[in-house]
Amino acid sequence: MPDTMQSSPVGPIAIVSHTHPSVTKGGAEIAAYALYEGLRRIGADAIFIAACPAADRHKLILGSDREFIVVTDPLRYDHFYQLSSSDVWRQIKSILLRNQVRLANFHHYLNLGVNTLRALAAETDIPFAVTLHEFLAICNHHGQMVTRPARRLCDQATPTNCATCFPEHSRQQFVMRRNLIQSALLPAAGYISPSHFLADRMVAWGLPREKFVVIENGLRNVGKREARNRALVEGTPWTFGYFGQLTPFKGADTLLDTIELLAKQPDIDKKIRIKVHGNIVGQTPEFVERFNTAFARHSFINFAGPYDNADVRTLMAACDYVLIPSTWWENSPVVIQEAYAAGRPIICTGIGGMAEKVPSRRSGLHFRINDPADLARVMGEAADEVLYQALCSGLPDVTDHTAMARDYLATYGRLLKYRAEAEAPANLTRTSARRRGRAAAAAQVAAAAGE
Amino acid sequence: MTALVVGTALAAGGPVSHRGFIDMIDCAQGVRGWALDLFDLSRAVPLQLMVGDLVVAETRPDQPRHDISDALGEPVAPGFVFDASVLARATELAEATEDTIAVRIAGTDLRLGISGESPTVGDVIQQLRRLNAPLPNRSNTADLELLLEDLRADAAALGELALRPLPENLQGYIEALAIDTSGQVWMIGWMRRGHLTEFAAVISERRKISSAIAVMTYTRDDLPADACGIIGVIASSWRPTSGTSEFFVFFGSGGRFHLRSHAPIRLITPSDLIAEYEAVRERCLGEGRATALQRMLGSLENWLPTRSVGQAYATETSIDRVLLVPGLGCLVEGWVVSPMKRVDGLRLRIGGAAMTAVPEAIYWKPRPDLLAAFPGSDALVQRAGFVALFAGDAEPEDFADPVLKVVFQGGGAANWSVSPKVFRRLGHSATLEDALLFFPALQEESFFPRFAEAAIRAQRNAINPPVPMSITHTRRALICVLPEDRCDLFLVFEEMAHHCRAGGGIDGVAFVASATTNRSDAMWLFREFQLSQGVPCSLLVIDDAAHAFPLLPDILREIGANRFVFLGPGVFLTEGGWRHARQLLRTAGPDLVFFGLEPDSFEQRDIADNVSARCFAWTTAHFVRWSLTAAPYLGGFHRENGLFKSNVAHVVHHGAARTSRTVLPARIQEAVNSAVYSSGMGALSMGANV
Repeated sequence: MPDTMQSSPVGPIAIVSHTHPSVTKGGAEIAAYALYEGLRRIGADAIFIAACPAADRHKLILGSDREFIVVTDPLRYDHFYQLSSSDVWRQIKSILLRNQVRLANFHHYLNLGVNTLRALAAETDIPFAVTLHEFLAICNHHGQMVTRPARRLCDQATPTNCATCFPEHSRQQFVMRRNLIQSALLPAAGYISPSHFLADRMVAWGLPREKFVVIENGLRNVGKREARNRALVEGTPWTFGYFGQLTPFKGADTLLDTIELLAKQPDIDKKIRIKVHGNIVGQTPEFVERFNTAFARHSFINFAGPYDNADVRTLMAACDYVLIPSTWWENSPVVIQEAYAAGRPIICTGIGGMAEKVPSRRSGLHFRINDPADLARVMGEAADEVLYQALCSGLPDVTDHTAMARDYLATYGRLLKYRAEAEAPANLTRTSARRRGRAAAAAQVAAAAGE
Repeated sequence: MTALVVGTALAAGGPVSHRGFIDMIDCAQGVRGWALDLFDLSRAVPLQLMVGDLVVAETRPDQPRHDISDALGEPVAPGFVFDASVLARATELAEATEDTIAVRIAGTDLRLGISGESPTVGDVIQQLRRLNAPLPNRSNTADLELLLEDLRADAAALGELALRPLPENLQGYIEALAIDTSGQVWMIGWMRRGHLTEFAAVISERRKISSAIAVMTYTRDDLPADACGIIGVIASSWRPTSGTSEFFVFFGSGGRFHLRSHAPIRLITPSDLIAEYEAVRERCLGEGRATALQRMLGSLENWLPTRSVGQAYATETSIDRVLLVPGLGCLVEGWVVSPMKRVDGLRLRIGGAAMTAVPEAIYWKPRPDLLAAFPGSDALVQRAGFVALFAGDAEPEDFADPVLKVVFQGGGAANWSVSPKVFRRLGHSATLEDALLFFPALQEESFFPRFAEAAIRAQRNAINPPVPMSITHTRRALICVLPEDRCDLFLVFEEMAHHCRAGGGIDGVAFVASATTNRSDAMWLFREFQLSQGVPCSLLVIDDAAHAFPLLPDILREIGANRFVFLGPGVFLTEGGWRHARQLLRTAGPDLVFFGLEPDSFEQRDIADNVSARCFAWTTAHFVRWSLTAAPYLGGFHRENGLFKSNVAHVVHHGAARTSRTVLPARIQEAVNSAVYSSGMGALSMGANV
């Protein structure tokens, strides 16, 4: 993108996040904050708005006076319909108007409420875009489109299927949920998705394809990629690293089962090392006990515990491959970009956003979901110098946060331009345009409901 | 234009020649008064009944008025009547409860005067509700005693007249008399139908004695259709003796009618009286003070508990549980073991009410758990347990000293005190499902219609009026009953805010919360809505969301709405529904409109267009009038609660959706509601509660 874009009169832009990265370390908020910093780095006028529970305010570390906090009360939030107290909208509206924001880019509506989006469309002229990081609009199961309790992959949400996963809610409630969230998202000027996979899913759900743009999440520090010189470590076992929280959705069970299979191979500790970086979250006591036992028993595996994001490149550099055995679709996990930045190919489940970001046998290898034997087979295949070098040479370039910001800025400019064109001719009042937009959104919801 | 009130002065002169006055505006007697033209007394001036500015009926005077004729010195017929039904119809057509009722001379602005202020439509509706309220409790014996005293005083004038027992005025015979321990004289006989059941009378046996008679009537196969059997009391100072041969009872206007005693009269004991009553009890018609008389009869028996120790019968009994159903009686489960005497019947007394086990509602069951207590009594134990309906009018307010009487074949009885701990009351400490513990096929029992009626009455009595938490009056309102589901509670307020922002047609909203765990959330969500939306809104709290429909008249009165859209718990309007709701609230029109529910639940399968009382629009006047004779269904809703049956209605297809998962009501609840729905059990008016 030409540098002249950085002086494009698109601003102030509000980047709105459901939480602040100084409080939680999820991918969405990190990506949102990286975008905000990227915009500022390229000279765009941007502010960052983040929701924060009142009880967590002491954890906040704000980088500048362009960062604003919306104080929320978790007890006054409904997680099924994603509805917040109207006080949240009052705070956001005040920030937007006070800073004369020209466009708001929501990176989530969790904690903020879809009612905030509806109120924004109804009460102001400020256009908004929504960056989607997972399928929460479609799926009530943490937005991951995995059934419960069986945890099978779900291809399509229907009210009947959703009521099967969540028998505590009625089918009609899922119809209402879909209609509500669609009515909140449809007035958006545009949608940004880090992956085509997620965009396709959202389009299938009911959002207009023409409003979608795919922009990869950028890393704050890309740095220089360093290839692993296997010659220097000749004779050492092939090292596979896992990075991230050991949640059930991240394939921790698959990893543990694979470890058990590999342990049966003779002299495995001479061939393979597995390093696990992260902390155990949301697992049963049985899993924790099994995990601790395995790591105590087998010498070829090492549990390194939690890590600081700033050290992830160094930690990955000590591995040959990065393992991503997730059991949900994933969108664009930041660990993929970090592995590429570290110059490491990836072994991942061949589904969803992972399959899109890690082309098989080009920048990594795929294995079948929930199949430890297949993972073990692929790891065995990966332990090959020729293949390894081929995969390393196939690693794509990594976007940094300023490049991401430029792409976003260009998108904002287009959205504002389209908006201005839509509001012509001059005798069309803003109010009636807003109403027509709402009416069109309502009609789309109604049409989708009738399908 | 300002209406000119026509004066009453019957003198010619002045700018108008018309004169007239409204004597009364009464729900039972209609609108009555007089009007005439002094310049043409023979002309019947045309009159119009007005509600606000709306003409609802017309008439011409045609009734003579002696007072006016005397004043004018010539006969005139200026009296007019607008029938009570016309007045009731006028309330349906009114647009606002503040509209006044008036009578106008047609073709002019002249309105007839009235004493005091002209009543409003609201005043008339209140009168109608009082008129249609159920009759007060007539089971009170004290009330009967007072009535008999008054009638006896009235009989003194009757005694002054010459009374002759003309054969053509004979109305029946007294066949037997009994005197109870308190000296009260009871009579058994028969009488022609058509007379009051309580009346002043004069007993004539060598002398005339003022008295009062109160009887229960029952059908008798040996009598013609225009006659019925009677059992009742003669309240007077007269006492029959062994020397009493023949006497007469004169009653009616001028003592015209009489009853004649058999000669000689049969004097029976109180026990025989009770036995004769028991034989015909089921055929007794519940008119007048029949219940009070039954209580008086019940008090004649000996109910003192007897102890089995020392008894030759060695009978033991116990009650396991009792379900008191006010208005029906008691469902009782217990056991009785009587080695020597066969059990012929069971009776139960609670307070002043004596009840008998209904023969067609009693069954026996084995009680093997009693074998240890009664060794060698296998045969007895096989039929020791019983479940029965004891029919009678036991009232919880009169709950005291329950006693079970076991009546033996061949005579004799024994009484046992029943522990109050085994009692439960339907609609309070027991549910319908508890009744199934006694009679699993309850809906097939012969007494089920009465049980259904009692169950509905129990629910009606349990409904408390809404508590107004925050009220802002509005003429047109969305009445929204808040759901129990917390998620849906959030959604209700968001949808309401969203559509209020959309503007146009939503003039006011009333939220109705139930006093449950979500009450706190409802209150802060309401407060936020109130602060953020510029729409008049109200919040009321009721005990149970199922009470919202029967309490709708109260709610409408609290907020002052004359048009409304009602959304039951868990009901949401679709986009199409919202459009129609706005339109219906804005435009005039008396029609009832249902918002058809999306077909997602079992209960809509049988109803055309998914019509339900959970979502509809109407005018307050029409709905309140309809509610006067509507029954409150168990659970609050059953089909369309009878709205559709009695009114022409429109349907907005796919106008609403219901998020709450359909919970099929318990079969017994469904059976009760179906019985009410089919029979139009509307005498149980909701209006009585408000």
